[in-house]
Amino acid sequence: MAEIVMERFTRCPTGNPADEVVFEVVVADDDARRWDSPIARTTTLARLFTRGSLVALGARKRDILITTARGALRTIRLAARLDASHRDVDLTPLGITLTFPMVRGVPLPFDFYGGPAQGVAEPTPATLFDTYKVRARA
Amino acid sequence: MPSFVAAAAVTYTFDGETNSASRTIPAAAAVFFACTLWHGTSPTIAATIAAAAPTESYQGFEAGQDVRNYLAVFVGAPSGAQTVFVGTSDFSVDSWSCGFRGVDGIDTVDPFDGQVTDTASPDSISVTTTADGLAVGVQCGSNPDLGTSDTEVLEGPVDSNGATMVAVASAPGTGGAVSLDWTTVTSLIQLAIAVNLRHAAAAGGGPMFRGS
Repeated sequence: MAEIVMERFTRCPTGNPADEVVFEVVVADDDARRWDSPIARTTTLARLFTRGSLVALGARKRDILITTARGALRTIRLAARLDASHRDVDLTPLGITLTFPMVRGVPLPFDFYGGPAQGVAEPTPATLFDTYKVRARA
Repeated sequence: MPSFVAAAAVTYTFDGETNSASRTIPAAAAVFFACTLWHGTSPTIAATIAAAAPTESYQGFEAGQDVRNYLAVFVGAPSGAQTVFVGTSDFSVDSWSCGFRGVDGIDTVDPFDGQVTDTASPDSISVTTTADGLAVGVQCGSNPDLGTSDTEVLEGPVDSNGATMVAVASAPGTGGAVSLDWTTVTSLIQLAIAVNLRHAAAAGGGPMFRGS
């Protein structure tokens, strides 16, 4: 499975690397090969999941979005709110395909947003990103 | 509000998976470290100063440009000549642009919040700030002509491929959303990540008693 760590958080109050806690937001496709495999292939974006210690988030709610299109048409396709539990979301219904090997300068067919939770409810798929951005912070 | 010390930033570039070298750490409450890694698809970034892990760190990835940006705050890092390590655990063709600078007035327990990565509009990123916080963003560009309408904190050198550089900008918090923006003449601006640096917690903390 090809994984990309989209966000990584660490905390280490003592400075001792053995005490460091780590939290990651990861996307993965449905192919067994690594992301950097030179083998030409087309895969499907399959999962978005979190791993590690939620302590690294500092008990702050967080929104994770997969979006498509840009500008005023930018649309939320997948939304996940992180609070006190891990998330593992099936992305295959989105039908987002990836082409390998990746070519630098060629954008992927989706964008990623991770930031503090906005609004009291989890963001809604199939709504505009601009609408999401103006929501009051929970 | 946190403020970067007057001492100039230390900046450098290197190729390969890791770099460990003696560098001059400024006298400050904390050190803010930033770097950008080209060819950063899979590996994550780690850094230490004097073998100590950062108090807090954050990194984001932009797959279309294969760039990973990283920022970290090291509270209480010893000043003077210290070993600074940065690296990853993967490819041998990585190229890096790095820089660090001292920062005072920062919360030493919880240095930042509001972490944000947004791959859709990399030349501008919106950070949710506290009124006494400082929005700080890390940008990766591809030529040494990045500018910002905000305050430039540091600008690292272009890597050996002439491909990427790190540019850090800051803007005072407002208690709401603050936009950090970069401009360029010829660069390909690639990825911004940003945080709200938190102001130092008030000294003491015990209850206040009023005489009668």
